[in-house]
Amino acid sequence: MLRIAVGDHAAFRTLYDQQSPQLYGLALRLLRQPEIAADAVHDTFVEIWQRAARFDPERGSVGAWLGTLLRYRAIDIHRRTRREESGYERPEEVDRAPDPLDNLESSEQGRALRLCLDTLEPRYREVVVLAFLDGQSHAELAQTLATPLGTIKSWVRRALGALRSCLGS
Amino acid sequence: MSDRPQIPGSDDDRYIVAGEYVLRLIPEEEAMRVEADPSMAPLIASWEQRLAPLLTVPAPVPPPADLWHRIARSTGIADRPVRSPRGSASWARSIAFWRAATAGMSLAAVVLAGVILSRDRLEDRQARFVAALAPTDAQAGFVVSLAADGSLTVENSGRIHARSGRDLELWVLPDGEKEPRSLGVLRGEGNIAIREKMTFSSAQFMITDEPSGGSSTGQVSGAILFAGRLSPLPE
Repeated sequence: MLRIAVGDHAAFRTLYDQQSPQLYGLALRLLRQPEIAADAVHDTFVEIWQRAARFDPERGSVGAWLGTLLRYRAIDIHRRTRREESGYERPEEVDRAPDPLDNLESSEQGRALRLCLDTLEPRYREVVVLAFLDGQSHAELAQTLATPLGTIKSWVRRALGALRSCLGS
Repeated sequence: MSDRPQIPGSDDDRYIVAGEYVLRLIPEEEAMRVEADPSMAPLIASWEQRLAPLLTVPAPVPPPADLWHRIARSTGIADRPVRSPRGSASWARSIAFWRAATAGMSLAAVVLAGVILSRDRLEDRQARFVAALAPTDAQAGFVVSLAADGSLTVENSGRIHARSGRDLELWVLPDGEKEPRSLGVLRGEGNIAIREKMTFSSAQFMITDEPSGGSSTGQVSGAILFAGRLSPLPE
């Protein structure tokens, strides 16, 4: 990131080669449509080129930073598209559980998160994962889980409270 | 900080709101209030870090083949095969201005963001190379000058101070080296002389936000606030 911050093209390309497949996979999960997912990855890399200097290594890995930026970008795109095109429906996922959380086992931090997610009631775990990885809003969660909006909101708060106690501050 | 809007509630409530913010489960107006409250930032960062492992749950998928070219076009790097520092456009304009302004002078002067280093100051150190370390979103903040004898001077032209309890630390990354090396913390305004003599003329400089006294690890540990590359001054 140091090199990208001072405009090193080769370092930027290397970062792209290393990170773009993971980011594109994440964007596809969040947006479901290849073209829009590619737009989200594009926007994220343009943002990184302009803001590499803001990367703070104390706050996690480069991959996590990129993933976080991409996720926010993708959710913004999804919600904007939905507002602009009333009646726009995100294509349904073919498989409701395409990516098992087993992937989380690959890092210590991931294992801790997995353990804590596993201690949650299944419905709490589901709202967290659907909101985080599928970018679902309260209304979408209510629809997906066929549960009233107010109940969804309280599930989210309880899920976050339980996760916080489990993971520590 | 008292004039800033604060997200009300107990610590527990505020943690939950930060979590909802990260999950993007709060209305836009409340999200803006959260962003405007600096005391929420560490809570948000904490949730982002805790949930980050989930970002790698979806399997990687090779992106479309033309995506890199689109990014290269959008960032302007496709048309700029020569490696150049970020913010190079404004720097190039400054150099052009400098060239015009100093035409006919026997000694170098640096004009950047309206700051003119006086001729007699430069006579002492006979600058041969300069690097403008520009912040991400504004005019130049620091000008680094490297003299023929290897002495380095930093001019704090933007009169920039570290945040309370922090220090600004200067780093150099000579071409061909992998790790930036510290040249010490920068304090005060005006010209700051660096003790260490430089043995290169091709390098990048960075200024980072570090704990008081500088990074404890000997490596960059804070955010990079300014960055720039040495450019030769015209004869």
